[in-house]
Order: sequence, then C-alpha cells, then structure tokens
Amino acid sequence: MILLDNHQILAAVQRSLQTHILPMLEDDFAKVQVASAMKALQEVCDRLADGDPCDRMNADLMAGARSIVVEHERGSPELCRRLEQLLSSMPENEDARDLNRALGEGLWQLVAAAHDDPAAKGLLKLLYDQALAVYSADGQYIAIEAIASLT
Amino acid sequence: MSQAPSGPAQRLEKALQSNAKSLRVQSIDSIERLTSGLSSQSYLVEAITADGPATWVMRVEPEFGVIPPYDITREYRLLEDVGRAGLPVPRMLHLGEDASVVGGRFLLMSFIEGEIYRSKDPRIEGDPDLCSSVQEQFVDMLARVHATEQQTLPIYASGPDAARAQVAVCRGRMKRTELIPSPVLRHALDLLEREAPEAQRIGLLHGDYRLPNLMWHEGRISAILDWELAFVGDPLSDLAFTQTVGMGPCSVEGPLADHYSRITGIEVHPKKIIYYKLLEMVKSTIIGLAGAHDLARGGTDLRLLSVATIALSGQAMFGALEGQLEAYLEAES
Repeated sequence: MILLDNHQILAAVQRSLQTHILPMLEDDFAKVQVASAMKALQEVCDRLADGDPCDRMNADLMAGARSIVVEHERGSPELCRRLEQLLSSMPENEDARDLNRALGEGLWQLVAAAHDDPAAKGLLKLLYDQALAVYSADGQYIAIEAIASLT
Repeated sequence: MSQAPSGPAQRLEKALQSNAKSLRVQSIDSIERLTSGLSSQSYLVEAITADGPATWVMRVEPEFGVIPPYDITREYRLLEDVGRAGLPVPRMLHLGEDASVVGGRFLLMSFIEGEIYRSKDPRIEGDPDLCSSVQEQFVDMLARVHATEQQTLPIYASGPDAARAQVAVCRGRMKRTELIPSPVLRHALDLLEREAPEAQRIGLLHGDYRLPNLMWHEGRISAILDWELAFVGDPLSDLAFTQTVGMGPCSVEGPLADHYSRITGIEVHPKKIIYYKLLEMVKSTIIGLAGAHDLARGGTDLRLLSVATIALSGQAMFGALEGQLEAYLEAES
C-alpha cells in the first residue's frame, strides 16, 4: 500500500464498489448504503486534496469577527473588546473541531448577551452567512438515493 | 435440552408462538427490511398461520436513532387509540418487549394494501383531477387527526406554553446531539421561546404529516403511517410543517388553508405559520444533528450522512424566517 497515496487508495475502493458491488446487489437498502458510502469516500478524497472544511470555516469566522471589531469598535467598544479577547484566547494548533467548539461557544455567548448591540447583530449575520456557506458546500455530498428512500 | 433458535425468523416464530397465541403462527418464512423510514426499522414479515398465509409489518426500536428517546410501546398504544377513534391506521397485532428476539423491542401490525405518493409525484402533478382529490382528502384527514381524542400522549400545556413545550423538547435534543456548537440554532430557539404564540386550540398532531406517510387505495386514504413524532399541541404546527421545503401540491396554504379553516374553525394566522415553520426547520435541523451524532457513536445507517447534510439547509433558512417573524412583531408593536 505504501506505493499508493491516500487519494489513490480511496479512489480504487470507490471504483470497486461502483463496478463490482453495486451491480450485484438486489437489496434496496444495501444499494442505498453503498451509494452513501461512495459519497462519503468522495468527501474524504476532497478533504485530502483541499483540506478540512472545518479549518476553512474557523478561518472565515475568525476573519469575519476581526472585521466586525474594526467596523464597530467605536459604536460597540465593550463588545468589541470582549470579541478581541475571545479571538486572542483561541488556542493555536488545536484540532479543527475543538477550535470550532471554543470559537462557536464564545461567539454565541457574545451574541446571546447583547441582542441589540450592532456588533452582536453583525456577528449573528456572520454566523448566518457561515451556515449558508457550509450548506452550499456540503450539498454535493448528499446521496440522492438516500434522501429518495426517505421521502 | 432444546437448542435456542438461531436466526431472527426462527426467534420471531418462537416468540410469537409463545406470546401471541391469537396469531396462530406456524412458521415465519421471511423477514425483509424495508428501505423507507429512518427512525424505527421496518420489516415485511411473511408468515404461515393456522388460518393461512399472512403478511405483516414489523417495526423495531433501534439502538441508535435520530429522534430519541424511542418508545415503541407509546407508538403501539397511540396507534391502538387512534385506530379505535376511527382513523385509518394499521391494526396493532403484538407488542414484543423482549429485545433479544429481533435486536430491539418491536411491534407487529397489519400490512395495508395501497400506494404511496411522493411529495412531488408526477402521477399527481400530471393529473389535475387526481391532484385536487388528493389535496382535499389530505386536508380533510389532517382536520380529522386534529380532532381525534386519545389517551396515550400527555397534554403538557396550552396557550403559549404549548409551543414552549416543543421548544423545550428541541433544546433537550440539541444538547444531547450537538457535536459542534450551532449558534444559529441556539439563537432560533431563544427567539422561539420568547415569541411563542397563543394556541387557539390544542389537539393531537401527527408531527410528520406529508404524502409519503399516507397510503392510498382506490382513490381514498387507506392508512396514516409513521406516528412516532406525534404529540399534543397547536394544530397550526402540523399545517406549517406541510409548508416546509419540498412538500409539493399538499402544502396547506392559500385555498387549502381556507378549506382547513372552514372545516375546523381554526384561523390560519400568517404570523403563527411563520413561527411554526421556523420551529419545524429547527426540528429538522436537530434530526440532522442527531444523524451525525448517531454515526459518531456507532450507528451504521450511512443515509444519516445525507440527512445530516440536508438538515443544514434548515439553518441556512433560519435568517430569512426570523426576519419575516420579526417584521410581523415590529408591525404589531
């Protein structure tokens, strides 16, 4: 296996499932499972090529939050001070999902504590935009067969 | 010493012969998994009884699931209740409490002949007469569900507390399933808690009322299926659910909502519908979170990956729905 890189191994598994397993299956539930597995393998292949999307989400959230500090530091000094504090307290070299937990919790505490503050509204919009971006990017990994079996 | 039966069909045969004597089971010939449904696992059971061949549907309480906590006993009792009240549902045949028989507690129910339409079904969309018949029966049956008396599900609250009770259930599920924080979801729950509307009436709600959960035979609804999300609350919650994404011609709005109002006397207030649409999107998002959570702790149904992904669409829509709701609130104040 050392001769092949991760992407080549996963692509071979995908081709095997597509060529040798899927056509042999008669059970509908098994077919849906294989179709879903192929989508999952595709997602892992893409992560190997492009990096973990959670890293990108964290970077986007940090950059967005920094822009909010710049934009609102005069109008919402207290919230911006706490936001800066949060950003500077984020651990480096942390696992992407651990960092996301810390960042998500921290941003949520700021939004929840100051509904009407313009900077909090900006943070909420940033979070909405992120939700939309994640959904748009993840849509390609939905196995249509899986959803069709449920609707 | 007699040997324990090994396969699920043999174990089920033995269990039914011992504990469901009225079914007069001689043998279980096959158990075939059905692909539809995500929560409980459903199987088609072919049996030979002293009265002849029989086909039944078996639903098994899963070890993992997207709408915990499961309670197959509750589902069994509710279906008995609503069946007695006259709603078309499968007849309950046996409640199996021994999880070792088929890998979870199970219920056995009658198999109902009929066809199922998808939410957007070309057979309906290409036939205007069929479409209006399906739409009218869809609404009439929903009104019947809402007026049905039952003893199984508790009435937690009325007035604005009816909606708050649902929000509390959502919060509990979110806490159990959130792998990474969902600030947008938490914000939506806070808004829903704050702005809970007064329920004009409290009734039995199906909780997942859509075309794929109805069976049709000779042009009439022959069964309402999948009651595991049923609860008691504001009927407008069920109506709003029909308006969420992908519901096709049976989205109860416009003339269909007017028809519902005429037969029930319940006013379909647009602000309340937006509120409950947001609540329904929150619920579906949490089902998606639960799908990911299930896989993380050992679940094996890979369809949950797609469910987790599609549930993100709910979060992507929160902003627009919250904006609409806030516009109503501002106009009122």
